[in-house]
Parts: sequence; structure tokens; C-alpha cells
Amino acid sequence: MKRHFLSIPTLLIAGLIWPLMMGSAHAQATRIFVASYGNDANDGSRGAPKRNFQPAHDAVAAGGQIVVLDTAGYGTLTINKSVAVTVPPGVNGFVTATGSASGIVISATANDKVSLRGLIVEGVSTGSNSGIRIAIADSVIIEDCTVRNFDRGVTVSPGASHTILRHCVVRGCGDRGVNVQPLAGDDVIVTLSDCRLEQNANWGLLAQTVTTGGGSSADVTLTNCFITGNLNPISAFNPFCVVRASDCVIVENTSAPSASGGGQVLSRVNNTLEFNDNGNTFPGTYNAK
Amino acid sequence: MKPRTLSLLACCSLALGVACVLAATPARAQATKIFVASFGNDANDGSRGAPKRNFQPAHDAVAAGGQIVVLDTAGYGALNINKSLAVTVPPGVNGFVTVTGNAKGIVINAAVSDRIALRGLVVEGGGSGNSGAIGIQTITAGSVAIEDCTVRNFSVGIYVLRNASTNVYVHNTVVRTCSTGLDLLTTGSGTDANALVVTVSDSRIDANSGFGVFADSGNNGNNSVDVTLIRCGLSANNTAIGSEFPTCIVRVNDCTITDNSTGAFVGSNGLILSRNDNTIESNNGGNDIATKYGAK
Repeated sequence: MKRHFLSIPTLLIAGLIWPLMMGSAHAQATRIFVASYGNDANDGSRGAPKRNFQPAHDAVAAGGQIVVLDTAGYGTLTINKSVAVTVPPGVNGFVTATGSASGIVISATANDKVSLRGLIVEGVSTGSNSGIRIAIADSVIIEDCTVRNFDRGVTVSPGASHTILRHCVVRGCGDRGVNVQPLAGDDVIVTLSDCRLEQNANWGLLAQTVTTGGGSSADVTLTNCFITGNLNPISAFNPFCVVRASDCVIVENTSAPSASGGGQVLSRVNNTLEFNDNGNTFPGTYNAK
Repeated sequence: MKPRTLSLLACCSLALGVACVLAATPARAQATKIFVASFGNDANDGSRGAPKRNFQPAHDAVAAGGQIVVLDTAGYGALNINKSLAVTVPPGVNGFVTVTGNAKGIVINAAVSDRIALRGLVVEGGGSGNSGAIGIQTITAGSVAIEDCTVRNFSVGIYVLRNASTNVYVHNTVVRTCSTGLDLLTTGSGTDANALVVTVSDSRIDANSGFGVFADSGNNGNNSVDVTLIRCGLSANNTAIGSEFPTCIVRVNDCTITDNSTGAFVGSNGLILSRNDNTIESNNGGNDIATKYGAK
């Protein structure tokens, strides 16, 4: 009996406090964990991780972080605020899309900063789907990610003002690996360093602007990238569309880098451009500084 | 018999207690390696089997010159360092230091002979608009090595304000979405001859709303700031690199500097030198480094 008298108030207090704690954690957590053994009903703390990216995204504070604790699939993700998804080295966080679905869609505001690190995003090449599609953001930084088997790997359209890919692999896509396609009124700048664009059916990287509705601009710089096994390694179409390559290896593609309609593909004259079936010259050059 | 048994037990437990205290105290004072883990507890001794939970108690328990090792991915709290120390997060694990508001992540205020190393940390702050929010601040140290770290969302990502000489090495590190990424300054007057030497290699400095890297020797010809950037990418900053005053030199080697409002900015006769092997394009201003230095 004595035990019961003690435990009832304790339980009551616990029952009152626990939901309050849980509620505030949901509203304010700047870090949400996900794990293979998690559950989306959990609060996302280190000891009670969630199971999928989307509930984690919806629970984390703007500017916060989603951290992957172990290797598993965590589902597709639509991002609508500043957030960082971090997969520690040694762990793979998979986003596996089925049917015509895209993997990750970033549709935030023009002030939001998004970063993705350590993901493997894989899908089925269907329609014009993308592994990672950047619709609206201020900056998007993608590190240590693999994107494969979509129609388009990474699409910047309409785009973030600033998109940075570092140490990423984009391969096996049905059409384009990296698709830089700003719409009317958009100005996008994309920086790729230490990336591999491989075995994409039509383009390793395609940048194209529009001339209607006030036009758009695209500016892409590739540093220390490896581009191989694509039909076209790099193409730039239309005015205000510039792609630069420095210290890259571009081999065993069907075509040479190409530019048309006023677009430019420029070499810093320090690239290896060999073993491409239909030509091994760049349309233009730029200078080291 | 009963009282005797009790007193024997008491003696035994007292002896055990003394033994424990004797054993525990020297171990705490001398441990050269302290482990932390998500499942740790700060009351533990920090051994491999009984890790601590947070960086600060681990720092306070480890011997000078020792090491804090992170066992699994979790947040470990802010850290003030006052001695030689290495914080090591093995590849495969992320150790987070997450602070809010204008709090600082890691502050190093040790002796001029102390050597500090930080590896594998993710240091994140309350936002670039919080004045005083600093990711990693060095006040006093002999040398600071920062490897494989990510620092984001502070007013200043990596801040070194020195009134003595310091070497700082930053390698394979990302500093982003701060107001100033790296702020490297010397102070002091007269004939102090303070020298700050910073090497940044294989790192990315991106999307900082002010300077990516700012170096300033404090308008005192006796002080110097010497920064070398090699194989770095600097993009989407307001100004990628700034250098103030003649004894402040930033050398740029094999870097890609694109998509900044200003690429290179020189104020008050500061120096920025290029080895003439950089890509500096698509910046609205400062889209070149006119002064070169030669390969040797």
C-alpha cells in the first residue's frame, strides 16, 4: 500500500510533465536524430530518434539539423526551410524514390540555406524526375552525396542563388547528370568541386538559359571534376550561360564539350580532355589568375 | 557477534571507500585519454568502458597534452580549452557542438606554449546575425590545428585575435553561412612583433554574408598576419578574401574563387598575392588578384 501511495502522485506528476517536455522538444529542437531503429512518434532526441526524414524535417526548427545515426533508408524529402541533413562519414543515409517520384525537393524561400551531406539518393528514371531538385533557396550546399538513376540527377531550376556541390557523384541518369536550367528572371551560379559525373545517357552537365520573359543566366564552375561515359560531357546553350572547367578529367564521352546559341564552355587549359569519340577540344578558354 | 560483524563490515566498506577515492583521484588527474559517448555520464571516470557525456567535464578531467575521444555521434556541448589537448572524432562519427543565441562554440584560452588539435567536429551556432557568436575562438595558444570540421551559423566561424604569436592550421574544413568565415587578426602596439601564421588547405568557405577570409594586422608594422590558402574553394560570400594593412599578406594557391560579390579586397595597403594558378571568375568585383608570386 505504501508503494501505491507514493507511486500515484509520482505517476501523476510524470504524466503532467512528460507531455509538456515532449511538446516543447517538438517545437524547438534544433537537432533531430533519425535511425533505422527509430520511430516517427518519437521526439527525435538522441535516445529516441525518428525513423524518416520528412517527419524529422517537419519537427526540426528552421536553421536546425537532421542527423542520421545509422545506415538505412529514410524516405523522400521535401524541404521548405533552412535545414542541414548530416550523415556522418561511415554511415549512409539512403533516399530511395520509386515510380516517377523525385528524391529531394528543395522549395523554401529565397533567404533559406540548405545543406545535404552524405546521402545516397536513388530512383527510377521516369518523366523529368530528379534526384535532388532545387526550386527555391538562397544557397544549397551538397557534399559527399551520390545521386543515381533518375532522369535528371541534380536539377537547379528555377534554382538557388548559389549552389555548391563538393565531392559528389552523379551517375546513371536517363538524361542529365547535373541540370542547370534557370527560368525567366532567374540568375543561378553553380560551383562543383571534386565531383564525378558518369554514365549519364545524354549529358554529364547541361546548362541552358532562356531568352524569353527577360531571360535568365547560368554560371557554372567545375574544379577537379571527373566526367566520363556520358553522351555529352558538358553543354551550354543560349546567351548568359557560361561553364568553366579547371583541372578536370573529361574522357570517354561520345562528344566533346559543346556550346551553342551564345553559350560558352571555357577551359583554363589545365584539363585532361582525351578519348572522346567526336572531338577533344573546348569551345573556348579562360586565364588562370 | 552482531556488533562485531557490523563493525567489521563498516571497516571493510570504509577501507573500500578509501581505496576507491585513492584509486579514483589519481586516475582522474592523470588520464591522458578521456572518452565521451551519447550513453556516457559525466560522473564516470571517462575510461573506454565508462565514458563521460560532455566535452567540458572531459576537458577538465584529461591531463594536459591528452586527448578526448568521441565514441559515437551526438551533441557534446560547448567547450572552453585552457591547456594542450586534442579532441578527436574518428572518421565515421560526428561530434556536435551546438550552441544558441550569441553563445560561443569552442574557446581556446591556453598558454603560448600549448598545442590544440580539433578533428571531426561539427560546430553550429545560433545564426550569423547574433553578434558575438563565434564557432571556434583562439585567444591564446601556441598552435591550433582544425581538421575535418564543419563550422556554421555564427557571426564569426573561426576567430583568431592575437596579442602574441600563434600558428593556426585549418585542413579539410568547411566554414559556411556565417557573417565572417575566418577572421584573423593581430592586436598590440609598439614593438610587440606579434606574428599570426595561418594555413588553410583543402577547405571550403562558402555563403558567408560578409568576408569569407579576413586578415588584418591592426595597423602596426611590428605585427604581421601571414595567411596561405591552398586548394580551397570560396563561393557565395559577400567578399571572398580581404586583407588590411601592409604587414598582412594572404597568398592564394590553386584556389577557386567564384560567385562572390567581391573576389579579392585589399584595404589600407594590405596584400593579396596569387601564384597565378587560381580560377577567379564570376565575382561582381575584385575578379582578379593582380599581384603574383612565383612558384619555386
